[in-house]
Amino acid sequence: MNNVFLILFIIVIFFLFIEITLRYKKLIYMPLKFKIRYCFFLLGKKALTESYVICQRVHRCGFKNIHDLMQHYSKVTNLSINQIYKKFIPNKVYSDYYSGAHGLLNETFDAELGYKAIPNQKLQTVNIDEYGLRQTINVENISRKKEKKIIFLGGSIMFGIGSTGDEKTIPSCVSRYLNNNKNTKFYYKCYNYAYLGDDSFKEAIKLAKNKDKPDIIISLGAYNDIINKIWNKQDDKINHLWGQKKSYNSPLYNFLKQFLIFRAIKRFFLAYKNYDLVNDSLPVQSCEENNTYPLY
Amino acid sequence: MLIFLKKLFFAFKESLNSHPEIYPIQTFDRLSYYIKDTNLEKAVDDYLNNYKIINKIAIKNNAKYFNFLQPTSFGKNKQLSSFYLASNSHLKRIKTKDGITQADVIFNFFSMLYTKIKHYKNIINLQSIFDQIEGEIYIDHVHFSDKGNNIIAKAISEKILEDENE
Repeated sequence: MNNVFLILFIIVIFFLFIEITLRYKKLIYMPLKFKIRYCFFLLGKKALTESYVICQRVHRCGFKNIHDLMQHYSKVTNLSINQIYKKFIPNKVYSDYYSGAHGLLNETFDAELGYKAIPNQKLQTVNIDEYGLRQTINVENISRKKEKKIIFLGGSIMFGIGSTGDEKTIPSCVSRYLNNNKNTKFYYKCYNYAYLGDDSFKEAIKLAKNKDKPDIIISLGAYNDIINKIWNKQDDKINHLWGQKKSYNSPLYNFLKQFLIFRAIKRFFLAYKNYDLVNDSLPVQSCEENNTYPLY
Repeated sequence: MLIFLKKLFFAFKESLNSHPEIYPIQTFDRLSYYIKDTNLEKAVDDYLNNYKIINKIAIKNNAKYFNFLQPTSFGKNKQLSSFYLASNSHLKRIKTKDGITQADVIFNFFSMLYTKIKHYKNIINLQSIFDQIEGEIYIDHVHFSDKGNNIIAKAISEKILEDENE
């Protein structure tokens, strides 16, 4: 009997060891406090999502560590490395919190539009207004010109993923460009209706549902149109929208899902089954300085 | 036997991979389901149909509509830095049963779109807008930094002002 308990004890310890190793590896690029908390199931769900997204970005961009990624952000934004860290790394480990960086916001599901931002959010890099739109910093109408309303449609680029604040998004920049031009006859007020993953079909729905009458409509995109078709099995438009709703999972499934060891087992079978669909000979490239290649 | 071992090794490697390059692996069946060359044409047509719908709504509201095609790092005109190449490399890892990679699909979609939009006055192609810009613009394989946003905003503003002066 004692031997049975001993064997069970060894199995549990082995299981925990593998689980902790997988957890440590998953957040490998994050600061130690994030990794430790995650290893012992103490990291908030949202802090985990943000940390994982950052790790994925380091990995996918071919960088060696988080500092290289932050240095790249610093280089492309002209902000100091300290400012970049403050904006793009979640600063709260304990609470369930989204920073807004990399498009991580509190969302709600809309039957027609899919996921959309919950109104009135003030996050590290993003502010969402009372209508659920990303805030646009409009220049004031000092000369009391006749107002024209511009609606901006699009996906994450128009929404402003990659911008370091609301004042740096495309609609805010357009407001500055147009209204600081003394030769314009009108005052242009800009509204950012774009949201993450929106394609041209969602843009059309948003516009059709919109009650305010715009004078100018600007849309920027096309990438999401093909990406949504690739990943969402978009055979028809209805399927495309409804396909995004989360399906119901049993409590047991949800409990087991949090253990990485079960996910690893699931991925083993999926990878074995789909071996033919992977270009295994092409590893993810590392990012080396002073080296240029044409992609096509 | 060798293939079985190769598959087994690959599956083991992927099961322990914290950042699966073949991401997300669950969508394999979906990927091969949709992507065929013929459907790319449908994807382009869908895009242009949606453009027409938005245009109709704009006309009904007496509004002006400008559609800008976003620049992608799949451009032909610029020598891409190692950052672009590295950040796009994962798109080349997944292929369909026909041997087409995700990067090929995106590239073919945009190529087809560029040829078809020539007849549309209000679709503006921004593909080459970053060609003459020095330094990095992108923060990943698709999103721009503040610098990129500023350049795009300038192009949009110029188009609006041009229209105002007409």
